[in-house]
Amino acid sequence: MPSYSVFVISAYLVGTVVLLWVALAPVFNKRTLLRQLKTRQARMERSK
Amino acid sequence: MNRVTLFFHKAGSPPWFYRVSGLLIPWFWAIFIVLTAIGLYLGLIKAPVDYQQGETVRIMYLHVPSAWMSMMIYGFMAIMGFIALVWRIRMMEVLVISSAPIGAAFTLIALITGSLWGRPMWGTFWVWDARLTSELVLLFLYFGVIALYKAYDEPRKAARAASLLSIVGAFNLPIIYFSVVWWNTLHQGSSFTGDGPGIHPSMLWPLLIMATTMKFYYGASLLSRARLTLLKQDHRKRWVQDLLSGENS
Repeated sequence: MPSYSVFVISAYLVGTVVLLWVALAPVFNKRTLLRQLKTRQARMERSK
Repeated sequence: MNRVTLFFHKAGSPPWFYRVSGLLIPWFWAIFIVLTAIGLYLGLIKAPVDYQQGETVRIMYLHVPSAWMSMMIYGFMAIMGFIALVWRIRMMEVLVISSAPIGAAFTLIALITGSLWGRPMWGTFWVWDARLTSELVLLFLYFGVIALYKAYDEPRKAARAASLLSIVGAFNLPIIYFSVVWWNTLHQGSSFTGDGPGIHPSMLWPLLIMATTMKFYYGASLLSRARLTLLKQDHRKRWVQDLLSGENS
């Protein structure tokens, strides 16, 4: 019987990429959002 | 007020949720990493090769927990959506919309890894079999919930519409589960029956560990996404302003 390792490796590669993407996306989005909010807050405080 | 009621009252408060979830997330990730390492070691190295499936049996340790998670998360979304609509608890709406991308990811993994297992075992990547088709419908339901939430400008109205779709879409869960019983499918039947699992412990343990670790992944990922959604929705509110001021100082 052939080993079919390529199918096993592909499956785990796909799983890793998808799970990493789903886990990291909110981390990067939160950083961007916090940066935007801080910039806006600083601008508002300057204008007071 | 008893402790359970008090907990639910507190959990409904965004600042409390944000603070406590921030403490839980690192623990969930740590447990996830440790259990994944153990599960992968047992599943990919220690577990024996199946006499019929050969090495492809190792796909099971990712495919089966992902398929379970895809159904479990949608079930949670339906329950949380029901609570959100009936009792108007905003945190439940946030949890519904934060769960959808994670559920969609698990469904996608289940479908792709299933295809990669099916090619050598069935001779094809895809068949319009009842189990596969109903799982594909589940993926579209997840996409529907995400799209519906993004279609509205007002976040609470969007979340309520998404909650409603979560409840309506739950009809698909028993179809997925019983598809291998109700129809004559190419997909094999459940390995866990009333007579106990028909799997040798050397294969059962890594499967159960991988299934457990996925719950911690879901927990950590869900809390991260819920925190982000809260920040987006409440960015004009006092608690977020205080949070930003605290981080600046």
